[in-house]
Amino acid sequence: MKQSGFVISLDSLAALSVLLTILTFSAFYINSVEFSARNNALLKENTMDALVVMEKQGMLADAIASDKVNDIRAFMNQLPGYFCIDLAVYNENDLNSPVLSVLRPGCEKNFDYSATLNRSFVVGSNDANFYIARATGWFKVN
Amino acid sequence: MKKGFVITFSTMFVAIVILFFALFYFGRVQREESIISSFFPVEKSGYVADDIDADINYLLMAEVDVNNGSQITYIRINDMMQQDINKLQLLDYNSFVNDVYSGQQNASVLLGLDKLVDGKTELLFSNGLQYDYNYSQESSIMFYAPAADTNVIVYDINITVNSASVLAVPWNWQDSTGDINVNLNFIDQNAANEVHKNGKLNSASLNIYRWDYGGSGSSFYIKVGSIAGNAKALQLVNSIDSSFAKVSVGIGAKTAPLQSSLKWNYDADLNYAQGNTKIGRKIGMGRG
Repeated sequence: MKQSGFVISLDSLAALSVLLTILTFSAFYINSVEFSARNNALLKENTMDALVVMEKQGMLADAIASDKVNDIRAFMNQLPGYFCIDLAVYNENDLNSPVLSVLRPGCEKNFDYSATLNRSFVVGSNDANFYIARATGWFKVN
Repeated sequence: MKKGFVITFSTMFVAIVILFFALFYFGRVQREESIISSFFPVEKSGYVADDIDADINYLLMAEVDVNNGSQITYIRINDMMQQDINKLQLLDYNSFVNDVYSGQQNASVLLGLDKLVDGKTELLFSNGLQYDYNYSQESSIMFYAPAADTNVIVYDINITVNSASVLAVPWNWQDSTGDINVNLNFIDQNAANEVHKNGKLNSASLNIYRWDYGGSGSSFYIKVGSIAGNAKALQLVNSIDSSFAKVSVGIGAKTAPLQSSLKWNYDADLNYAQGNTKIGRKIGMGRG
């Protein structure tokens, strides 16, 4: 009787171990699932769109000409609340020191994923200067 | 004993189903992620090409708008005429793309701008029409179909010159026998030589309207009709001898409706490569 109980207990323990092992593997695979490409694609598209709008609406060229970023900041504030963006504009001759820099109000540079994209634009006509606008976008952490 | 076996078997079965589901879900999401990632280089190539198109269009300043309606197609071009255009800026831009921009995009971007910096910029329409801006000596504009007929029914010509003409020599309007309608609005700083007239011209001949600005050969010309074998063509020539003289040009050309949409691009090449993604096309300006 005692022996029978011991075997049953051992059998239960083995079964429980196998079950837990399978569940652990399952949990591992499910937890490994990440949607980083989806988030990255969305971030890149949002950042690209923001740059295109800022160039085609003339905000980038105007900001360089007037040395004022009010329009850019106002545009950033119209973007969806979850999206943060940091813009830096560089002259073609110096890609280390931005000639202007704007961070969306209310955003902090605190992110796991970000997307950085560049776009060129021209200022002036008879004496044209070329600039690179570099924008980094990320999703706001609450 | 049997009851225990059923419970054990059921538990194991459910656990294995969960494991297979996890494996399947993991694999599927990974495949989807891979597909999503693989699209971005293609999207980026379009983004970079659009960026370059926008910059070159900005430098060359010509604006084209096409309204392709069911009754008529209207092509409108706005431009500025000045002697040196932006040839040097185009060369600078080419250097900028080679030296700076390609690196920033982590891609190979090569521009073929030879045909834009050789003294003439050519804007090509997909239906065979062509708009040339010649800046080699005097600046001139020509709207034509090479060795063919533009089939233009109406030309709207709006010119503003910031200089004062001393003499205007008109063409002969042929309102009763002409076959091409011309709406001409010409303004400069001598109100006596302004022209605001809608009339007709004979497209088989070369019709020339001229304004002289003092000094030998210092003139502005509008030519309509048969120009160097090009039927129903339009040419504007600015040989005003003043570096301050600027000419604003607005041209509208009405033709019969087109069967398909129209594209127009500069005769310049854009080649982009990043990994397996490649683009080779003309510098685009628009479609309508």
